[in-house]
Amino acid sequence: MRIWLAIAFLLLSVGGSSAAIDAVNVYEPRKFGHFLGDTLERRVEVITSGNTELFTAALPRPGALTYWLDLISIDHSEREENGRRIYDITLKYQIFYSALEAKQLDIPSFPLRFKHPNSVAPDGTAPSEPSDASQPGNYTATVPALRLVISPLRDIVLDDLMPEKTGDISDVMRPDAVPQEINLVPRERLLWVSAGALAASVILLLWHYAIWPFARRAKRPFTQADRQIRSLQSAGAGDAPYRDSLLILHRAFDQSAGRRVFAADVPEFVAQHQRFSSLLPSLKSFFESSQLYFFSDDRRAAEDRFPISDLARLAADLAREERSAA
Amino acid sequence: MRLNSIWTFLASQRGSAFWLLAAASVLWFGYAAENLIYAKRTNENIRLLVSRHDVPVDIKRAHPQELLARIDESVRRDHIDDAQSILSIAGDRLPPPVRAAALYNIANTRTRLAAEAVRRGDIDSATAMINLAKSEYRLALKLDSENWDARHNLDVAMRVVRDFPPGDNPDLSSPDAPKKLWTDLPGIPKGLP
Repeated sequence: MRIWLAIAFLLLSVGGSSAAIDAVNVYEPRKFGHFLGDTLERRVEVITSGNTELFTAALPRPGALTYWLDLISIDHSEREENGRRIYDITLKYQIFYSALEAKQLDIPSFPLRFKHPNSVAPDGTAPSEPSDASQPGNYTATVPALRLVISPLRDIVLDDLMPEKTGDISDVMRPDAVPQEINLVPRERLLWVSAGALAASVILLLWHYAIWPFARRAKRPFTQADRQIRSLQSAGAGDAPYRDSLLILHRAFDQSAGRRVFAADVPEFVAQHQRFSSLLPSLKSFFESSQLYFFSDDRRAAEDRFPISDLARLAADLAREERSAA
Repeated sequence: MRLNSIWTFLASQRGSAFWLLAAASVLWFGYAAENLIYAKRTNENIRLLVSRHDVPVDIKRAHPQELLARIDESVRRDHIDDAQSILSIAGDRLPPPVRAAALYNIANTRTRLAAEAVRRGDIDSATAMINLAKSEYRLALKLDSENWDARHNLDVAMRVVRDFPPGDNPDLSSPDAPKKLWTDLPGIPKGLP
């Protein structure tokens, strides 16, 4: 432990002996064309070698520097570059000088103090005590004065200086700030978008549970059959339309009953679906002629007994009954 | 195959996913509606305050612009203290430009009052008021340095009463004039009588 301390000590003192401030670069803002209320930023870059440390307690503190100048903020950071330690100090000022004509004013120069940490132990000086500028190995960097030209903000007539002679000070002053109303447009848009999302999610739920709009639509086979038959009829004549119409209506019956419906099942079907009872005769003749058409060769007779116009009417009647019952 | 199993899993979870979606959109819709209603009510309040109705405002919850309107109304009714207490309670909740605008309005009123006092010949109270106004303008400019109206009116306020600068003494104005924290070292016995 003691050996380590001794080695650290040695290293520190070696570093300390070569510690120095090598260069001070000041990046100034423009020196003219400043008004009352302007802020300006100065950046000071101090390049040090060896074990030098910025004495942060001696930095100027934010606040009013003079009656016309405020130091708003002061930031410092350090970085290493090629074995050198570089300190960046950023000073932000705000001018509060009310100029009558363009006027030169100085921000006075001030020192930046540095210390080296290893100077603590050997000579027993307090760590907070910065190295004196007069010591060999100057540890104070000077930030030079900055001369600014400050311009007047407005044309100041003599009357302003003696308000007892002016008409009213409100004529000279700028008007008060007016509160702004909140813009409603984006909020309304957001409301519409969220309403759309709500509607979409409700529709999705309804679709998922097959409630109301979706459920009924699926349970309307006769309406669909009627629609298909009518479009078939308007498409053209021949053998195919009659056969297809028969098939379509059969499929509708199957879908409605949930199983295959044959001629023998008609009474049972009507008993289950009371709303179709008034159509019983035509239903029977439909099934008979369809049997005739599909299971005997006498297609002509079938079409004569139950022509396609009757078939279309039956489909329309069924669809109407289906809708009115639902 | 793997994709298929993921697909079937998703299909089995479709119901809960839709419920989640529905719940989220209900929350969203509620939030948007509440937001719009709040904004409309705030605008109504602002309109009333601007047209000089003495409407009370909940300082902790009100919109910044509503607070600005409330402060303006208090100032117009010569309750500058009320306006200032509203401003200090609302404090950091206000965005800097709005705070600057409120300070600017208060300072404007003080400047006008000071000009009135000067006309009456009451220079002392005018000076006190102008000093307050100037510090408020400075604070406003610190919060929002782009507020050119505040710059202009600070310039006006500086001319209302004669104001002698304390001099451009570099020794006094040195930015880092080291503060003496202790006049003497603590803990050292001063000696017996």
